[in-house]
Amino acid sequence: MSMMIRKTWAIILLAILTCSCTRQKPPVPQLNTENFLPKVRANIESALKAALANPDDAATVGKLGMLLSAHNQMAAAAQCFERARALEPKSFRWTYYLATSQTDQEKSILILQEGLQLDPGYVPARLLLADLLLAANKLDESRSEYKAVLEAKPQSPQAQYGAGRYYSFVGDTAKAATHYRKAIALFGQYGAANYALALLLRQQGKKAESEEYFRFYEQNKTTAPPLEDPLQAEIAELNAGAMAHIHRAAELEQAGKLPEAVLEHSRALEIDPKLVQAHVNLISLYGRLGQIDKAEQFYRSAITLDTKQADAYYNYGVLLFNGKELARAERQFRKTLEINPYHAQAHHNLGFLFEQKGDLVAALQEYEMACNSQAAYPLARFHAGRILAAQRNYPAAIAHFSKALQPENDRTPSYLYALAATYVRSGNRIEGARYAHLARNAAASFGQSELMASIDHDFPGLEKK
Amino acid sequence: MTVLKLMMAALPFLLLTSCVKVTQAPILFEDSAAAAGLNFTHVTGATGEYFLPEIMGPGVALIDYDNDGDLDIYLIQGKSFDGKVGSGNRLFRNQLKETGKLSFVDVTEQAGVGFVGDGMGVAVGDYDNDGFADIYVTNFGPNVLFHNNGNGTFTDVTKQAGVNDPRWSTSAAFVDYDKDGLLDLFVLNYVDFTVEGNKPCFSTTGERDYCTPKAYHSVPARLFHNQGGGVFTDVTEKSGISSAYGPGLGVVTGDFNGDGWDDLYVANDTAANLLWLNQKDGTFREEALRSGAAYASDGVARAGMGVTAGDFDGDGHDDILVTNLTREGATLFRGNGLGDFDDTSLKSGLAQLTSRFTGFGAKWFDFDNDGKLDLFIANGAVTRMETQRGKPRPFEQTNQLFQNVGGTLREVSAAAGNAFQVAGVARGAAFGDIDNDGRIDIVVANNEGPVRLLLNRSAASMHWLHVQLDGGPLNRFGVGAKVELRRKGVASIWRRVSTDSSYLSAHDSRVHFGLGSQPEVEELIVHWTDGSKESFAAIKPDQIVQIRKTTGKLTR
Repeated sequence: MSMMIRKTWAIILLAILTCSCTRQKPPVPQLNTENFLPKVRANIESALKAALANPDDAATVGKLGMLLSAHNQMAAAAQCFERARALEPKSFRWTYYLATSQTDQEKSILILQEGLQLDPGYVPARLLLADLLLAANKLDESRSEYKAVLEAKPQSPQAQYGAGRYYSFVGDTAKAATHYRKAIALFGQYGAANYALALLLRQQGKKAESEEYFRFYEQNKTTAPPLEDPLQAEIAELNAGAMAHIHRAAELEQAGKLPEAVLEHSRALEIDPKLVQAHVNLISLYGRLGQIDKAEQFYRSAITLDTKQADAYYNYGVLLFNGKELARAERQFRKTLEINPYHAQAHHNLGFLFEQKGDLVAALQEYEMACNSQAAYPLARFHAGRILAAQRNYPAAIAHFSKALQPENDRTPSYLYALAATYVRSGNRIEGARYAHLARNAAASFGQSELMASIDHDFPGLEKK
Repeated sequence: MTVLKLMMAALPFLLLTSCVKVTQAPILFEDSAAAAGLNFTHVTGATGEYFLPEIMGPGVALIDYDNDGDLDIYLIQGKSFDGKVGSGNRLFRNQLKETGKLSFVDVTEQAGVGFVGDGMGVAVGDYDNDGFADIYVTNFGPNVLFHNNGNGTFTDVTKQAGVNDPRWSTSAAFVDYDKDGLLDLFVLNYVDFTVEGNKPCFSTTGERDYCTPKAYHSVPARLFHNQGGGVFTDVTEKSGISSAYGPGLGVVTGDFNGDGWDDLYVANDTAANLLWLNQKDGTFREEALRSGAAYASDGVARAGMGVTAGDFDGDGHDDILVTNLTREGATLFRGNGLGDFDDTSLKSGLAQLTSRFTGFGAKWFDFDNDGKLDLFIANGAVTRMETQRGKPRPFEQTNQLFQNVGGTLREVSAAAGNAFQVAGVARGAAFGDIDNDGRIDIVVANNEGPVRLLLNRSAASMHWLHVQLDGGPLNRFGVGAKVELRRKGVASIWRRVSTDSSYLSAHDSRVHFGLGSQPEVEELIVHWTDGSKESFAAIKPDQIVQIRKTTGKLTR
């Protein structure tokens, strides 16, 4: 049978399965919103009322579905979208939303295929379809979809990555690598593409190159290229839950946008004034913005709402520490540890306070407890190593400095330098020189000229190696 | 051809495909807990504060504690944080050998193992090589090591053994990582949750719900080296195990890189899974990322809960399966025996089949005795399910059974009996032949619910063989040894002795071989952990055989 006839058959069968019969109109869903947050409940109940009053208006029923979807009520949302689609069969919007609210991937595929006949140019839908087809082992169909996106949008990193996955599936590693490389060329921080390429190169025995991509992956992990999906963006905007604002605030904070993060927290508190997490986070955010009065105000409100929030005491402790109120800071860190004895940062900060008071035994104990609570804690390792080196306990100091080298950050050159110096003091000049060399290279890669100068001063001749 | 004609032509095809059936032997698991007197209901004492440990337990162990040749059952109990609810763990003795009928009697009090705590999981191993299996209980709070006195009683030896961990421990495994013939102990910890520091978490609708582990900091695992004389040393730092960690929930041991030394694989919840490769000098190196077993193929960490390792595709190498959260699907890492893994979850179809469930306990096991490893997954949600709103426990899901058909896993839950239609909040699952009929049974531990004893009634006509190893004075139960079964004209079947894997649970230490309709066993080769081999020929099927190291004897 020719390809043409097979395609015709497929379309007809699809039509039989999905279109030809009169579409069932499920009722507007019954909802129990009793325990919902008041603002969320008000929004949903208002939309529900409208949908019940106008059950044959696709826009009204669909709007309810969008609200439900925004609050992750996917079964009820799917019911609304199915009704909206039955009322307005030519609408791509309801079909797309229905496809994305399914738990059954096979159903999603059928609905998306139908939807794309209504709007063949909606790239996020086509990409989703390609991904789902790949997951369902429908490889040829998946390849066609990725190909279609790449023809329309050759600069789509997602489609390049998807095509790479397809070729990886069918065992064509050369083509897979080519597509992964293209995806990375288009969006360098693409975590999934870097990971896939690293694994592929490892399989091919290209160890050095694979290490490079593993490193890129570790730097970016879940970072993905932005995908313009206006229809899903409309849904995201409808999330009236306080936690949605907290999540957005966390992203803004990570991006260094502290005032914007404060604003998102304020929005969260407008919705739920008793959301302790927002109060706790605002202690830290206002502290870092230098608005001490505000930070104190949120500390008080946080512990009024919940006296057992370890991070409220910790954040306030940091604020006091930065304000040089060391005795008060110490009390806060102690309180933190009463609630959570494994709070690594509180142990570390307490260690630092003890060290400032000259109590090195207590300081070392706290640093080591910080390391026990959080093994990958380079700064605590470094401080513990310093004290031990000063006490001439070189093997223990070396053990801590060695463990401070992971995960790598801009302080790593200093840790390498400390390790080098400790080796030399312990009498092992060869290891000392080796680590000094590594420290110098690392300092150079981070542009730390002062540290380089110190290393050159203490280890003359290294720069010539 | 017109469109109408094409449509008419399509109809018979549709009718035909809808009628096609696959002929197969009946698959049946029967919940026989009540009939066998296994009366136990797990409680959490939840008060509406949504303390995270409430939703995570419990585990279960299959252990022949009295060496009478049948498997007894040790069940982990929860406790409310105000101490008002919780009756302690229970030990049920199997009376099969003495009465000829499968029935259980609660012997907790006389055995002295009714520890009352915020119980999580259990590991089983004979750490002092006295021939009696001992029990290690993990808790939210101090853990407990029960030494089996060999007379039906146990003694709490946690303090003198030095194996306590006061943090929130989850799964644990006995493993002889340094080949000194003494079982060491690897204990996972989860997060730094404290009752005092309980954080309020909410669903997207603002309803109170259980937090994810991300609300807390993860806590490192602990490795205890068995020094002999009933004493362990904490070698967590020295061994390198503390250098990487996440919220650990599942652990499985195995020689994943084929160097003859046991490695450790850890399933972490919302963080990279870990593969600790044994460096043969008392240390481990973490290699999950570079081995391809840290993440699914998209590089995104899943909510790893349970884990199992086994050669499901019959290529002689262990494949690792990790159970995850709803919408994530289970991850199937196919191993090449050299420490490299390939995520084949999508290719195998398993990701799709499991994506509607939150999986916990899981294990490769040959339920139909056809020589190929099948799979069971115990399911139950951890956060409110929208479709169960209004129910007091909106976390219930059904369990899943997958049959291995020619290296492909096919879900057969719907055909496996009513036990697979009953929803619950399943967590731990332990596997073993409880009624000694040659078929592997399952005990499922439900959170805030009754224990299920799923007796395997499938494939009665198929042949089988159980092998119990006795390592003599060292590594008594042969943990880590591999048993190879050879038959004419077919590939060897490899099985490894262990009690770990799944979730919070411990299993029958006997290795099981399904022989299908071909009863002849040409040769059975035991590859002991010290590198020595012993071979036995012309073994009759359908029996339990015991092999004692260096004696060259195989007994029934």
